[in-house]
Amino acid sequence: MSITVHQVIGGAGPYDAITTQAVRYRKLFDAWGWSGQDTAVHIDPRVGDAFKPMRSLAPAPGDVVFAQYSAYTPGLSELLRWHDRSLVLCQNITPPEWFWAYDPLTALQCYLGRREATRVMESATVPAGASRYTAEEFGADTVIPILFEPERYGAPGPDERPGPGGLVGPPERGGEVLFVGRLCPHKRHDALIRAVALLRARHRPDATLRIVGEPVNESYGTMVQELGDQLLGDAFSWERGISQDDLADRYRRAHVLCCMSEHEGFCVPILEAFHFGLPVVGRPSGGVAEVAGDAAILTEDEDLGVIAGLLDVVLGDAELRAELRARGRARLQVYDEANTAAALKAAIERVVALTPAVGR
Amino acid sequence: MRPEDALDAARRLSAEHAATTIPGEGLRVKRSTQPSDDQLLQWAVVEPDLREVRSTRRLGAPVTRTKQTLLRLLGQYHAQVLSVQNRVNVHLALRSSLVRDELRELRGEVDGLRRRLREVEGQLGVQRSDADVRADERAAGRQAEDEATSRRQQEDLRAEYGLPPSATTAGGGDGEGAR
Repeated sequence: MSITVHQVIGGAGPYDAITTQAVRYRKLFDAWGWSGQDTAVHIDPRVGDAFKPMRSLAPAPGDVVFAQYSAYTPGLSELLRWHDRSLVLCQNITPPEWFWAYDPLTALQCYLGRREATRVMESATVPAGASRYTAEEFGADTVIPILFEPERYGAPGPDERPGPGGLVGPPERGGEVLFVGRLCPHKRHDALIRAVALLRARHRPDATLRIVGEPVNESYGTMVQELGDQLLGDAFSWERGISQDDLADRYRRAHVLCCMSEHEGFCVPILEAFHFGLPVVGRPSGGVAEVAGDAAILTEDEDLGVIAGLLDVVLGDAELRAELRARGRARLQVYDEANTAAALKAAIERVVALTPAVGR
Repeated sequence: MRPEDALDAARRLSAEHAATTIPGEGLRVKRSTQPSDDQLLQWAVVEPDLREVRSTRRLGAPVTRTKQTLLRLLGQYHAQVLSVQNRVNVHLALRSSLVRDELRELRGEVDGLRRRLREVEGQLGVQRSDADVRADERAAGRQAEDEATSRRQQEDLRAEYGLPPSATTAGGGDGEGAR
């Protein structure tokens, strides 16, 4: 069955995860013999002509509109209201409460995005979420996980990381803790820095923390940098704008990934850590517990000393790390690219099946 | 060790080392349901930093110098424009804060009327459940706390901007708060 699927996203940019997903989805559609146009409300000139302005989209009655909803998208709910075949995949939107004090414009976007989400999801023929958590939060019954492509990251590297003097595994008094993700308030880099400071003060004086990600704004980035410098000194490093190869290198060099985030719709870095055989420790917020399954050690404990203790336990126990690695690789099977592609195809075919007649 | 046992081990470790702490100052992320009046007023004042005006291109130093020179030459005009914009922004932010005060007062009046209704209900023998009474008390306590916090923040801010105390705090007068 040949279907015409038009994609809609809020913003198309060269380093944007949603854009990357849309490009990959189009390759899948091409492989299935489906046609269509990819559109966005805001288009960065660097993406070339791969995306057309959303306002130019005029779907024929039998076409399917597939929107990825991750931020306030002006005009989307109107488009969905008058077009009778649509799939909306919600990627979750962070509650604005996390941003009012640090980035009011982002807070406003989140506020509008979450408010509009109800209308957008209600207007969709099939509403879906990127995780069960997101689906439930935004009133959807279908889950289409993130399209995780391990080949983008290259080989995982050795199971245990080389240490100083050619040792295998984390050094006795140290170990590198890694976190990858935007520097946003809800990711709680402040809690992560304090947890690693406690790790150094109580258990491993040579432990280090590396965070990788773009800040929500320069001011917030400076606040995180200052806290890191103050509590960890040279043991703290923050990198931004690094290439995919460099990111893979950071994963290969790290000994454990620690995610203290308090709101995650999905949390791709967890799958990335599993791919690189990195143990994962953190909080079971939002979609984290669902994605990690039994392959991560998660706790809601408010005591950061417990996180420090967990990091110490994981860094010091090779058997535990091996078990977490094995479970992590098993979790990757659940998020295999083929499974996501099948879920996406089934959802679009369901849209068509639910709306056999042309016009509403 | 099995992953399932790691958390207990970590909790034991934390308890054993509880005496070892780290400095408490620095960034501690907090959630807020909306920007405070304090923040609104801070954002209302536009103060662009001339050092932020630069070219991001490679070898952009001459462009940066040109931009900054132009800004210096137009300094008087920009100061004039900013002062007009700032005046509007600050007044809007203050008005919003005053409207919030008035809303609180109205809520207070509604609460007063509710209390009166309850008294009348009591006189007429209409029974209210204990849960209703407790809920009312909790709501009243929360409201009083919110009002006190808000008044404190507003007065701090007024003092910071060299404004007189609001009518509510000053006990009357002819300031904006009284209008």
